[in-house]
Amino acid sequence: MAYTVVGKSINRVDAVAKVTGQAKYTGDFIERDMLVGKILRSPYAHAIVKNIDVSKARALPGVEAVLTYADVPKIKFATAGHPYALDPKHRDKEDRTILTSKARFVGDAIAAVVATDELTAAEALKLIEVEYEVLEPLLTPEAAMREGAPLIHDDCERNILSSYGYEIGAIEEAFQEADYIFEDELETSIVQHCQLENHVSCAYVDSDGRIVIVTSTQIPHIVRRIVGQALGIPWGRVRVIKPCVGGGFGSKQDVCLEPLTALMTLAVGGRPVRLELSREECMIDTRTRHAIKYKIKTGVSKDGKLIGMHIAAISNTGAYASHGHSIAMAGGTKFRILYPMKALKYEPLTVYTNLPVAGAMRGYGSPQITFAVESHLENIARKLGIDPIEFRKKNLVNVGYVDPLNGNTVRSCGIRECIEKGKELIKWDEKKARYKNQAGTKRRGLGMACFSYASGTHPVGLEMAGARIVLNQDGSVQLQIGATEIGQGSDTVFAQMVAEVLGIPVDMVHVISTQDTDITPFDTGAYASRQTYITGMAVAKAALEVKEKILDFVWGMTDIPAHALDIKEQNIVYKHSGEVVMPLAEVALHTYYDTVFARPITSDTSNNARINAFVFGVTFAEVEVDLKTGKIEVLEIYNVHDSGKIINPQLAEGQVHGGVGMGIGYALAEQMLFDEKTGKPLNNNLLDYKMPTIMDIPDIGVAFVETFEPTSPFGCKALGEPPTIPVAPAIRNAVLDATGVAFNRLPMNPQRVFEKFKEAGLI
Amino acid sequence: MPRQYLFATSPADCLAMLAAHPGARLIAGGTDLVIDLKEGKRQIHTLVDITRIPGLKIIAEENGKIILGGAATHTQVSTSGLIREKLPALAAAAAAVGSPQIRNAGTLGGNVVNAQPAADTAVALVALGAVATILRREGERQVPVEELYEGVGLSKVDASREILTRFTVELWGEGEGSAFARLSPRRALSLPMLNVAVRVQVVEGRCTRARICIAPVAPQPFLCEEAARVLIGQEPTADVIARAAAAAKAAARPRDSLLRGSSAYRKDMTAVLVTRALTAAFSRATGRKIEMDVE
Repeated sequence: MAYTVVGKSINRVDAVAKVTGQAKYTGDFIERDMLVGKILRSPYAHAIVKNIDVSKARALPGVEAVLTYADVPKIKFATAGHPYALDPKHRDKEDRTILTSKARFVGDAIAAVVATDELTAAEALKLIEVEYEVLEPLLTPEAAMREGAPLIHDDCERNILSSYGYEIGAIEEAFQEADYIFEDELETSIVQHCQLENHVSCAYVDSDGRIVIVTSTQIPHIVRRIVGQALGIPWGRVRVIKPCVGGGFGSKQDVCLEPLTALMTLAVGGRPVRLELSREECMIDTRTRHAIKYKIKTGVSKDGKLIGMHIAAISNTGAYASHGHSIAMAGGTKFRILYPMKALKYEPLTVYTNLPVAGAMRGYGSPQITFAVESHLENIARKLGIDPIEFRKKNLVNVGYVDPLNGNTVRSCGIRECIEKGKELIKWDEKKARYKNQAGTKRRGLGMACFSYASGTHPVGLEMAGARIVLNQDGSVQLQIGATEIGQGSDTVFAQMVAEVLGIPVDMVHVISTQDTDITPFDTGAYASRQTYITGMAVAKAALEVKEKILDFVWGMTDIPAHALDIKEQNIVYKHSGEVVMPLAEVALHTYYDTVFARPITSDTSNNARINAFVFGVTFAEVEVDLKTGKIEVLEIYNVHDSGKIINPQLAEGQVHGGVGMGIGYALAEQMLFDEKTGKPLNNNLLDYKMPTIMDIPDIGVAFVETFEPTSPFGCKALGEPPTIPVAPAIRNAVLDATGVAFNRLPMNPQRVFEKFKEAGLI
Repeated sequence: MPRQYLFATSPADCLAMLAAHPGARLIAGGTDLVIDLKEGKRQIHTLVDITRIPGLKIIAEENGKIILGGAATHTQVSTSGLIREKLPALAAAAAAVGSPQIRNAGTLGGNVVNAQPAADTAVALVALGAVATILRREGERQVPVEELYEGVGLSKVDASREILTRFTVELWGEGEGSAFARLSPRRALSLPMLNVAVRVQVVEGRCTRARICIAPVAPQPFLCEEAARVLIGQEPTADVIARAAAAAKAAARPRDSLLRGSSAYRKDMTAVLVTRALTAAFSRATGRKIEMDVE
């Protein structure tokens, strides 16, 4: 299909506002006499508050309120940014109160102050006296599941939050049938999102007595509900406004600050309060990525076909449930479409520990399981003496495959083309031959890894999206969506879609970027790589409705039937000849001002997308390993994605760059560290937590295999999270190729690599 | 938090200001000091800024010596043609500090007076045998950089009454070479897991002088005389370098750190980095490449 705007690298609609500093973020939201909130955090990983004395803090001039667990509603609530489940069995675990009398990790919020300024608030925190009874900190799932270990939450035996898994086929029979059985154990580390903008929210009570919260969130409509739940007030009494957001990567698909900020404003008679976390706070008291340990056992036939796989996983979810149970399941679901096999058994345990709360983070469980499975498959191929790429190709999914558990169908699949493209870009065959017999202290190698992922959450979650379009008097339109722009570029691709359908230039689509639950259509938010695909459906639907109304209106004006008309380059034209009938602007004026027929044109649409689309892709990496120091350098890296039709190639490429950078950090350097005895964080700052800098990232090669996904109006599929998923295993497999040493643990930092080389007798 | 920020126009002016405001402290780039102030680690009423004192950023060669002003920034040092040619270890060390913003502000003097054991340029200055000139109202003294340390974060330069005006590095002349090697988890904004600076001189095919500085393997930049001794009088072969590296490894006492690496790993890395730095320095000194692969 020939598009004029879709598929073009137009500039982001917010580019100029952002680079000139005009874009307004939550931190730019300033009300007169705004107060400052701050949180008192537990110094212990596991402790009960025996006594708390806030009298000195309250007496400090400039302190407007002091809150403790005694002042918060006795309501347990869940923070995960999911659509509400009508079925109580499918609701998120309600396991926390706004402030707690039992500290479950170092940094847990015990009390809070509201003061006239930062310094007074900080001073007031020092004046709060707390007496703790310190309990044994449980810092690993093994320690937490031990018989007789203290319970972090009273209602979870052995501290196991959830153990929900599945079995497809009969795994034992499959192992019987297999010619070979392979086993591996692999594990990942705790990492953090490190989005540019720390968590921040402001709140006040408006003249109608409603709580208005301005917040940096991915999920404004869900925040509204959860604040209502946490405070025990009608949800409609909460209004949530989401201005520009400086990144989230899942850490803002969770309700971290808003209930407390709401409580703070209520505590000071509705005066405006801002609660903003420092980077150090953000890294411990928002969300992290789950560290997961896997035991994988796989049966393979002589000719390299996967027969059955058994995966046992132990996921460290930290102190509160957040998305924990859901992530173990999502990871275990989205990877399996890639290599269909007779039997697959997945047994995850999601376990509470006294560490910061793990939650949603780009890929939602998939980077972990993809690291495990793609590393395991590489080991198998090498043991079988089969080329690792051929081995994967023997087992890849085809169009038409239906997931046996959730019924989602593969309707477009470009994974084979992605692999071929990647091989070609990195010059696989040529370099493989060149690196065959290396000596010396620096060795090079090539590796690759594949992934599959989904576009949204159907059928597990509701996929509701809303869009509203108004045709203006000059023929331009306003577009409002409930979906949230958080830096990924969704506003721009939606504008492109509307421009495409309505035959107008993108600069005549005015996107209202701010979401306000009072006026924005309902959408569940930015997560699960859902927006371009899912919200795109609602946007297209609204645009088509507006187009239909415009052409009907012209029919009334001209007697030319609507089905003979189209809109091209801001003109109403004859569909068959392209001859101009009249300018769109003229129609627009008539819709407003024709004294008889005036009827301004709008569309207000919701779309419940009961469908999903699988996406695929691959990372190819070339590394150089310094055997003497254990330092790994990524020389070249290519990501090739099948995300269907690419709506904006430049934005898509940017998305891949960010994802690959995140994947390189995950592979080689990033890891949150905690004191092994006390659970105190050791590197919750950006100096000691080693995210790669631009100096550490090589040029990133990006390519797309553009299939056309028939369930999407523009043929598009998900791209948001996927780029980060296959990066770490591809690098790991490249290191294996270079050195013969199979790493089974992330990150592969120099010391670990060096130690493993020693252990393997390589040095 | 400081209440007063003064700009000194000369070293004498600076000393007078410090004397006039008891509890005042000198500030140069402030890249460490400002963080300490923000975190409440120091209580200082008055800061005396020395970055506008003429001549305090000098980088020049005078009478066979390299003169470096105490307020010369890492960026100036790392981009100076003179330093890159004559003292490449120092140029490389300065280029490894922090990030461009930090290098633009941070100074050589600050890197030494802040007295952290693995400050990159301090490690290079110790290896180069730099001598600091320190002024106080009572007079001037000249002290080798390695003698300025009193403990981790503690300098013998008292920034509340003294100013470090310059470093002097004597050029050794024909056959000298220096090099810097560093191991860090990332290429910018990263303290080193280990850094090494070396300076050697080769006359008639034999090593006549050598200084090897390693960090952080002791409470201050560690001038490893045991390793240097191995080299003196020897031809700089791979084997001799390996023996010097082994001596350095034996002498190094790095701490165990979850963040920066285990003691065992950093001891092993001491041998690797000393080997690499010496190999590069001898190559520069002799104009010959030394076969490496015997580490």
